[in-house]
Amino acid sequence: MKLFKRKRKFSTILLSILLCLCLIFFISDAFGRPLLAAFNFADPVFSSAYKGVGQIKNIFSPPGAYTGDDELKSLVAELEIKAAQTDSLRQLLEMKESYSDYDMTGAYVIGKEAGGWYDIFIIDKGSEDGIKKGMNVLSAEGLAGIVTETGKYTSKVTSLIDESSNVSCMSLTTEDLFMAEGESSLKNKGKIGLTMVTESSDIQAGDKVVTSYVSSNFLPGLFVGYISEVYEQPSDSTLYGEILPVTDFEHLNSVLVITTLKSELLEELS
Amino acid sequence: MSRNKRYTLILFSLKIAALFVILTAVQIFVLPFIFPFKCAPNLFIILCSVVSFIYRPNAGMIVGFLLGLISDMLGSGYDGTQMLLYTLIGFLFGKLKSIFREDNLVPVLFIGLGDFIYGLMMFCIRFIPMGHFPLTVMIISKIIPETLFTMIAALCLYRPLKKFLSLKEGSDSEIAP
Repeated sequence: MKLFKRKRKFSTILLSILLCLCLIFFISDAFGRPLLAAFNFADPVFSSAYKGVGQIKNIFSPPGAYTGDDELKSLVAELEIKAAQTDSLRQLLEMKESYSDYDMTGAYVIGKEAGGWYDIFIIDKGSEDGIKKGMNVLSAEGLAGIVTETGKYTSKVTSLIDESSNVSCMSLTTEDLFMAEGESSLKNKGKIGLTMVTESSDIQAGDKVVTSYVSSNFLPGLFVGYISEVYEQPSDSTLYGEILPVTDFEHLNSVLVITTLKSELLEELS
Repeated sequence: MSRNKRYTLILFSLKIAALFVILTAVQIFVLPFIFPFKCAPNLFIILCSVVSFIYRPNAGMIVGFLLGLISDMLGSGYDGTQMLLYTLIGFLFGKLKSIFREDNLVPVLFIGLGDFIYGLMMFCIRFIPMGHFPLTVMIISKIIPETLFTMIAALCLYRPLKKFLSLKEGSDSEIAP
């Protein structure tokens, strides 16, 4: 009986200690994750593991049909990525605002957020390569997301379809401003929501959508996608809709990170 | 501490460490690529539950805490939240062990229930700060499929994991002072 009570007491003390630790970690989150930053030494391990799994994945689904030797294979893969980057730039040049002056760096997508509660992908470049939080990320087709966390050798990119994603956009046809927001109900269809459009707006399905000038985090003129549907909510006077992003988030292999931050651009302009 | 108990503790730690590394690698690096629509089985809950069922709350809590630490490190939510969830799962399942007899299906049902509650808690952590409440959508598209996948994985893994982790054939052990 005494032993049972002693063990129960130990369980309670252990639980209390662990719960206190959880609380400390939770509070430290508000101060820039200093406690988890102590585990940064593990970053190279995770980075290598992600890359290793990515290479295994590429064996089963190689980027190209070429089946030559390893050196040529890697050259072909490199050229394919460069071609994708060129395509991306070509597409971006078609937009109203030219942003060819922005510095960009290519990166591979090496992993996805485990757990599946967030639409976040991991790229193989981190703070060592000059990646900073808030940098915009492009796929070969258009805007893919924004860097939300940087490690030494890897970075996390929150994709456009994540529920926390909130991008100020505009229609290239009518220049109406609205918000593009990630929505759970649209995610499985590969779409994002379109909100905060005034009833007087002339936006239509098929309009090209780019990031607007008023966005606080995104550079202007980045191609987002096309409006696929517009409908009126009977309860209020605003229009709602759906946007079909041009980026294929399920098959994202390489991206471009724009190393110019919106805040830097605003500073330059002012 | 007797020599026998020390040996048991070392053996237990090594087995847990091995499983920890293997299941973490599979959960984080492999499953996201295999399972579509972000509904992969939660191997962490299975490991945490099996340890709790076999070794009672203390070991379950510690393993749960460490699994939560890894999840928080590599995840994107608030730090400490997954640590809290896995620690509580480890503790509660360790306590629950005393109310059911040895059965292969009952632990799997408990693991399923644990995963469902974990899903609901993650929903709250994820969406309440944002002011969005797409509960129905998330239950149908994420929480229930994930629970089913976890239960199927638990059905396959429970017995081998239990066999691997058991220190003595046919008896439950407890790691406590």
